[in-house]
Amino acid sequence: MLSQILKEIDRNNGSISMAQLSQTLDIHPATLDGMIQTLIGMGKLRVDSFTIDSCAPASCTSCSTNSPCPLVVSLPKTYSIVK
Amino acid sequence: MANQHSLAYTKRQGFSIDYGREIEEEIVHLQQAVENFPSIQQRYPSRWLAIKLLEQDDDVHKKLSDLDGGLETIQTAQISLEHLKEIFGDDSDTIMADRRYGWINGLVRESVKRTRPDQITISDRVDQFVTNQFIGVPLFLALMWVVFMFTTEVSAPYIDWIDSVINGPVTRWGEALISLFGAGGSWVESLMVDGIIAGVGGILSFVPVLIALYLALAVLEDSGYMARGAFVMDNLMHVFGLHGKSFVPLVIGFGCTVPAMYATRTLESRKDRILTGLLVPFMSCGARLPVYVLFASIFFPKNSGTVVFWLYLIGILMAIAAGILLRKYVFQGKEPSPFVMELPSYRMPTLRAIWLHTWERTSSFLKKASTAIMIASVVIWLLLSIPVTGSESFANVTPENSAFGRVSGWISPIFKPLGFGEWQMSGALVSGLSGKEVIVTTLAQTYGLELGIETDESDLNLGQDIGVILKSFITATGETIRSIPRIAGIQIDSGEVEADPTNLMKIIEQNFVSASQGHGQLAAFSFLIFVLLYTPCVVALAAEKQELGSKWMWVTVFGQAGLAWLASLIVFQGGKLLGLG
Repeated sequence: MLSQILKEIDRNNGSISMAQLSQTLDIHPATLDGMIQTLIGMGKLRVDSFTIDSCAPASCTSCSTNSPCPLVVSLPKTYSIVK
Repeated sequence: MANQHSLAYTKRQGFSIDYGREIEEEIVHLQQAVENFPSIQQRYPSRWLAIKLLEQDDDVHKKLSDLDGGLETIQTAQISLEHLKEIFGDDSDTIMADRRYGWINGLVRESVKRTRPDQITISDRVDQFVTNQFIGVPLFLALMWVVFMFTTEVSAPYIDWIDSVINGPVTRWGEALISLFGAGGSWVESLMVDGIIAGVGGILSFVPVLIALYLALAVLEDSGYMARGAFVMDNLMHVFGLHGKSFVPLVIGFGCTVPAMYATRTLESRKDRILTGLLVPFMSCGARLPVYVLFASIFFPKNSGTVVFWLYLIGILMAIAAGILLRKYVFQGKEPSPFVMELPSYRMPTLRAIWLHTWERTSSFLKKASTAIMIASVVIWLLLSIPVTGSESFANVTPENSAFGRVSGWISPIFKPLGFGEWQMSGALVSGLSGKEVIVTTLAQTYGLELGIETDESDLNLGQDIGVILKSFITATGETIRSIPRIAGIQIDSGEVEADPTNLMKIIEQNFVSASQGHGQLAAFSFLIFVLLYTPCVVALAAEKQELGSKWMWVTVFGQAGLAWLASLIVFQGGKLLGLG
């Protein structure tokens, strides 16, 4: 089943939503979530980090905040296959 | 073989998951190996240890290597792992986790009786529609159109209100303050009124636009739709052969090009990072919005929201076209980018969350206005105050005879074929390289000097001023409330509802009409296309240099400028040929 998940993600070769994956493989969303976490733990998938933790050092003039850039819209969490 | 088969299950006791014959055989082999070393056997249950070794558990490896016979056991496990890899073509830990899930699945199927099938949630039903490959993109575009209609309609009365406050009471108070210190009529007053108040005030008028946009985006973000928008955008880009994860920097680019450039580092391949970095400047950053709104309100007052929406859309279309061409001729071959996206459930946005999102972004802009934009205003004022002819003095100079006017005048012929070849416009575009909103600041300063600030010379009356400010604020709020139904095409008031153009708007319109020999609208649209496409601000270029290197930064500098010039030329000259504008 885990291999099927990886194969399905790979076969899609783009983005696929968890709901689509759950439907295609006929796996309950909660089970799929657990499987994804297992795959992450095994190092087969990784959580992508799109957070820009802070503005570029001394170069971003838009603000002087140390928190994540407020202009970055919150994007969905994505998991990529580790090659 | 028959003997091996029997070996597979010889050591199973009580309850245990069946991992299948091949794995069970290796488990027994390892159990036998473990039993040769009492120090290991006494410490760990042999089946558990065998499973952990096949799962390549680092912690177990570490602990085992310190024990007598540990290294030999690990070596035996390595042989088992290689054997299993040969059989399954996959790592044993994946196969074992797979078997465990299969076993759980089977157990659930046999033991759980469902009285009714799993219900599809409302969120799933909405998603089937919203993320549909045919409906998703048009729906996303339609929502974005509504966002820009909302932004321009709702903010228009407040723009006028802030403009009237800044050019009226605030300027009067500034002048009075300067006079108190005995510096009335001096260069200090000019710096305060023509530099800081005109420059920073010019851009502060557009804060309501940003608040309205950030408010609309916060609603979309907090409701969970924005994640779907990103998903739809990603699929669209994929259709056109662009890298799937390029959507992340590109979506961030709508806020600010700087973090978008840094976000390119999330792409694994350098080729994809460069390609995406080159496409980021096509996305209209928030700093360009005041310029769009100013010009759309002047030249397209009845369709300003639609014009702004089209500018954003043209940016996306240009990015797609450039991406396809660059992929085909420069960055051939696309590395696969498979990934799974977790879309959050839809939820009702809370007022607190919306406010926090909106305020964080607006305050970031206000900080910029009080630092970078103020510095830019002072520098432009300084350049506008330095005379290049001997007959005039510092801070008392005809704008076109100032250092800024003279240098801008040298550049302006480049823009003549584009319909905006006057020194004020070319000067604004050059100063816009420090930040796109500085274009508005510069226009406010250069045209402001020509206009002269029309302030009431009568005695300063603070109470009266505050009363006028409050009264005009209430009027603006009323107009804003009345404007909301207009987004849906409902006209609830019969009278003329368009806001009166400010003096700055009038003089910009006159200058564009004269610079283009009567084709004001066409020249304005050509100017907007130039602003959309030309070289990003220096901070974004610094970020690009850091992420992609000098070579690609220069490609952006000259490539974007050349493309902007060409596109504006096509718009203006093509439009004239077709008899538009």
